[in-house]
Amino acid sequence: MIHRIIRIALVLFLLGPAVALAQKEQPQTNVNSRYQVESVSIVGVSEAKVTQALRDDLQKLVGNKYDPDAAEALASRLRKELHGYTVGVKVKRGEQSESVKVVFEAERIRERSFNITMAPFLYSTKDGFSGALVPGGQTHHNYFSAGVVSSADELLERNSGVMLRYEHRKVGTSMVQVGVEYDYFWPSFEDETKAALALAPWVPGTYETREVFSPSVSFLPVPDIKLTFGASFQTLAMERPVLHDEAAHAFTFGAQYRRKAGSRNGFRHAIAADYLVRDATAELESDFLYTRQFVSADYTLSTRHQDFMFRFQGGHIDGEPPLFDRFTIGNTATLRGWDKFDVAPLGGTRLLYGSLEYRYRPFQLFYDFGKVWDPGQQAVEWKHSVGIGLAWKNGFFMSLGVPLKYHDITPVFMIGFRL
Amino acid sequence: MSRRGLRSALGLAAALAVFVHLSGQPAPVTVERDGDLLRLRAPQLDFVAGAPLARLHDGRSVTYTFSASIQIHRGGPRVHGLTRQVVFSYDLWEERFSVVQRDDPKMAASHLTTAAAEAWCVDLLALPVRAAPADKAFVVKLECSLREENAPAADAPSAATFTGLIDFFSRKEPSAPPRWEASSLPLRLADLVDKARK
Repeated sequence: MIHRIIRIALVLFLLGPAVALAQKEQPQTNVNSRYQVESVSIVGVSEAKVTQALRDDLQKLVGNKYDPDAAEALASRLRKELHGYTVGVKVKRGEQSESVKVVFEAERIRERSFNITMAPFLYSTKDGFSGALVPGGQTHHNYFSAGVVSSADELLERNSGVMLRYEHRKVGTSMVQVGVEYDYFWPSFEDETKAALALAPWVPGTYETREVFSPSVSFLPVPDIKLTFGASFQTLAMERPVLHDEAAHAFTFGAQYRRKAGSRNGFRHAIAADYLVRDATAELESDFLYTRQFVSADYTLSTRHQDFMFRFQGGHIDGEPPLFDRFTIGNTATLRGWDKFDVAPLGGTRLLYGSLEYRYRPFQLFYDFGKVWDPGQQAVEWKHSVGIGLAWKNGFFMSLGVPLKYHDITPVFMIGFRL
Repeated sequence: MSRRGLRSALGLAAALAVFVHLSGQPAPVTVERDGDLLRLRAPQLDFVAGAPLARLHDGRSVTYTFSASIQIHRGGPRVHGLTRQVVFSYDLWEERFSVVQRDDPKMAASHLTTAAAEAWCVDLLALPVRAAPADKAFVVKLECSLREENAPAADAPSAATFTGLIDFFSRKEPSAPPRWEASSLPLRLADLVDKARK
């Protein structure tokens, strides 16, 4: 008996420091660990989306004391299984005294970068100032925006006007969104475009106003992909031969893909791809009949402070679109350093464009190349440009683009803020 | 604009300037000498609030990092500093807070109200008297922040679908964890009455 007591005392003496050390390493930091788990549930997603093995492991928490580390480990496994969802752990009082319920809350991730916003401020020595003041607000999945814009950057024309937009971003489910946009523009055209129009009578002419009404419905089958179906009703007040209205009514379709991923070796990848179709058809009583297809893809490979960016754009139009739908390059975003009117004063119905960019912190170096043309046109040369600049992640940038050509090399300075 | 209107506008502007100035000031810290220690009090430093409090009410633990430092003048270099980490949790049944010092689990308390838990943390930050300059005025600064491990909240994206922390293009940078600050008025050691000798 005495031997047994001595043996137990010896064991306790030897194990005591080890137990104390273990307790010191892992102090009980959550006071709710003393309560027994009464139930475990998953909310925000169908349990059928979770593998049976993981569901079984979740249920193993029941009957035991609440263990925050074990719960977090299971939440981590849920995140891996539920692609496109965030998962958090919540603990609530149980029905019985001194017991708790563990709730794993899953919420669908909505990829916000699908939203296309206009640059609030841009300036280039070729196109001058461009700006958009389109404030918006959101309440209960309803998003409203209204504002004014005057931009000479994206289109052949200076696009000045008002914009109104309403979106409902959760129609029963966050997978379905509806939106409607109304815009009214008073465009102005440069002399280069007007002069080129005189030599290209097959290209539809300039217009005094452009009115746009475009309803759409979008589906997000997975958070990385957005599919948009809609229509675009546009009325143009054509200036020639006499002022008259012409319609450019079209069915529209857009597919967007956004993906960001990290990898174990320190590289991060971001992919953005878009495919847009506008089919102006007689079924909608459109005067202009054409089909415009546009594809773009951006890939960014990043390390801690460095980014390598690759961009591609391609476009094809069947038929003769009005000027606002013709492709153009040579602005603050494409073929930086070139004047778009030197590239093609009327734009074109074919587009190929690429860009390579390197960034170290805000410092950037870029090489852009591309061409726009019309079918039947004589061989159109590729245009190239290089540049340097500073671009911060908050969207502010300033850069200098240099067109690579033999004569009249005039660098273009660009500054602005792009969200 | 009439003279009366001008006076009203100037008065309003002055009131606004005073409000902005005062709202930019950190919460005050009071310092008491207790033998060899300088004990701090900061009753207006309400750090158990907002998102961290919501996390605690969800039964999760939250770790705060506290630091107290002595500076010759506000914003100047630290003469002496002390850092403590405290893990908070909220008892769902008793509706009281429990606190434990992260690197010293023996330093713990439970059944605390919000104010008591906050005061317990500040009390951990007693500074040695010898660290304060004997011949110069000094200020005591108290800082509190959430530990990074608390940042991935329930709405944090999955690593499988997002990098989570690094945003390119239009995405905003991840928001910095909240911070709280409090600072004393300039003090002289000779002016502090030793509580232990009372």
